[in-house]
Amino acid sequence: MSKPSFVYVTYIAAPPEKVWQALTKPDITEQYWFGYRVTADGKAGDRMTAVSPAGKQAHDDPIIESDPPRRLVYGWQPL
Amino acid sequence: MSKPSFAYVTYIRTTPEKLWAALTDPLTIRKYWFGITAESDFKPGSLWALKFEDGRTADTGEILEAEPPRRLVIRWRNEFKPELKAEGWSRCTMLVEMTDYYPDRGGKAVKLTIHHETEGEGGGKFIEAVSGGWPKVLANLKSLLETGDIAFQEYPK
Repeated sequence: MSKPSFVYVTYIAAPPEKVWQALTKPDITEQYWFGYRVTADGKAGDRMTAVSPAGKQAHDDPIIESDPPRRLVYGWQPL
Repeated sequence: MSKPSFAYVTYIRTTPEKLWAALTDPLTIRKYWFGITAESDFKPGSLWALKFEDGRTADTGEILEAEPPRRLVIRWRNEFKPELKAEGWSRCTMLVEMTDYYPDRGGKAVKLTIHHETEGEGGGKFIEAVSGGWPKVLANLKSLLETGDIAFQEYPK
């Protein structure tokens, strides 16, 4: 029995470094993630955090892998 | 056992009418589909084909349903790769919806859903091939409609 999963692929006209910044820096996520400030620019073992537009902590999850600007894996458990 | 299928959803900052035009106008298709273009009048019952720039036929089929600007269903078979052609017919449904469109909250996007499945139980290789192709074509379509420019000029190797 396989685990439920979701896979999505898209292509973006931007250099890898710029996409990486957009995935990990709160000042950028805030602009496209419905106001959520997501911080995920740490190393493996650090935390991924997300704060809602109302200022509520929405995520505090482990960064499992981080290989800028290629690969980012983090846990995901809404608080 | 479910039939092999591919589903993709993307949101594009445009109108349903402009998206429909981009899905059915041969000259626009050529811009975002790596030089491939469609030959069809996109009316129910009409023949449909995708052609390479050099005139070779890539895919053939028939328009099963066309309800501008909402719903397009194409019966579709690969013609240029024998192992894919051997897998037979597929059905591609394209839906253009205003679902999740919230102009009162600043939303400006329409939802495009592509669902591509084989008619029979087989067709795994065909679906694998379109699963790689659709994200590239649709990323190019989204870029073209939103910015006036495509993301790729040529089919990425």
